[in-house]
Amino acid sequence: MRSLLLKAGATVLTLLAAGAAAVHVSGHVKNAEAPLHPGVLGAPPAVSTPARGELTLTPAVRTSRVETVTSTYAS
Amino acid sequence: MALEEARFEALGSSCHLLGVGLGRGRLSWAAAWVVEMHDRFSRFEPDSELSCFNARAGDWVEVSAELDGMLHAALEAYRLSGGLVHAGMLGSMLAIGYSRPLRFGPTQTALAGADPPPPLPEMLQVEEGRARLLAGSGIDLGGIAKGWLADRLADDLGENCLVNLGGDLFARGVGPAGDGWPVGLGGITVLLSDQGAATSGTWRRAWALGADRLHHLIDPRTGRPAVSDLAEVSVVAARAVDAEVHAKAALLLGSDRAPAYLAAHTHGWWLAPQPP
Repeated sequence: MRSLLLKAGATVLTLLAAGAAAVHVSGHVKNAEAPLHPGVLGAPPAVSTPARGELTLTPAVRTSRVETVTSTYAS
Repeated sequence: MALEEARFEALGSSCHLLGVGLGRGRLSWAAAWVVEMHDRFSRFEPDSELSCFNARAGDWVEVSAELDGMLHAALEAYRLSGGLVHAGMLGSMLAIGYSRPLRFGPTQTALAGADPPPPLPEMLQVEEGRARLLAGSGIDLGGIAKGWLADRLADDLGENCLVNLGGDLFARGVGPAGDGWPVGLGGITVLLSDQGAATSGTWRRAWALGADRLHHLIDPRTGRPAVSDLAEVSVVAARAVDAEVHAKAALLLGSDRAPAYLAAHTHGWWLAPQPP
């Protein structure tokens, strides 16, 4: 009986904590005017390109297997 | 000689400078110059030279050598692209809610105010050291500024350097191994030497408005965010600013007409379709 009461108490406590957290979060939505985190220096830019595409090169551009030092990307 | 590099945030983007055999302190000087250009030519800085120029639309305004250069570049971009690259889209930018850096989120939209602008030469007059905007209009230099600044900085930085300002880049000289600067484009490595590259896409700086999807690339024919079957175009051209202009124009032209246009103006290109 004691064990059952402890389990029920823990369950009620968990549900109350979850409910309180939900109320708190919904009352503190993201503030667009809040100070920003500082920009990360020294890290490479987030580069991503669509997976599919068609490449056309004239003789003025050569390809290579060398590792790139930087990339062009949409920003 | 060792490859030196510097990375920093400016112009609303990540910037990357590289050089071989540069003089001491050159990269620090170059990074400070880019940050200064950001402060002077961002439309989001209320006291920037660009913001002051826009605020005085209708009057002749004295302009710095840099703004003079960028305004001439904007007019040339309009001419080269047959009117598709139009710097006078500030009204549409504001109408779609792009009135502040998007890290703060878009503001209220008023798409009814997003109308096609008049031809740029009718909006913008540039003379020696001064310029005038049509009253009630405004310009956003956007990618044109990045390309122009990359070209200009590479000219000054050193004989063997690469300037990448938010994806608009110019590779000057023979690169670290003497056979060109290895640059990523469309998932492969290309070797660039005295060439520029840039990418234009509709999938970044984009957000949802109800069922609609808005993005920063405005089609001057409609005054609204461009509708294209291409999601992204990367281009190699003689200069970074040329690559920027042709990438944007090609994206607006779509996959049917872009290849012929790019073949006439550029050294190479990557066309990525919209995802299914």
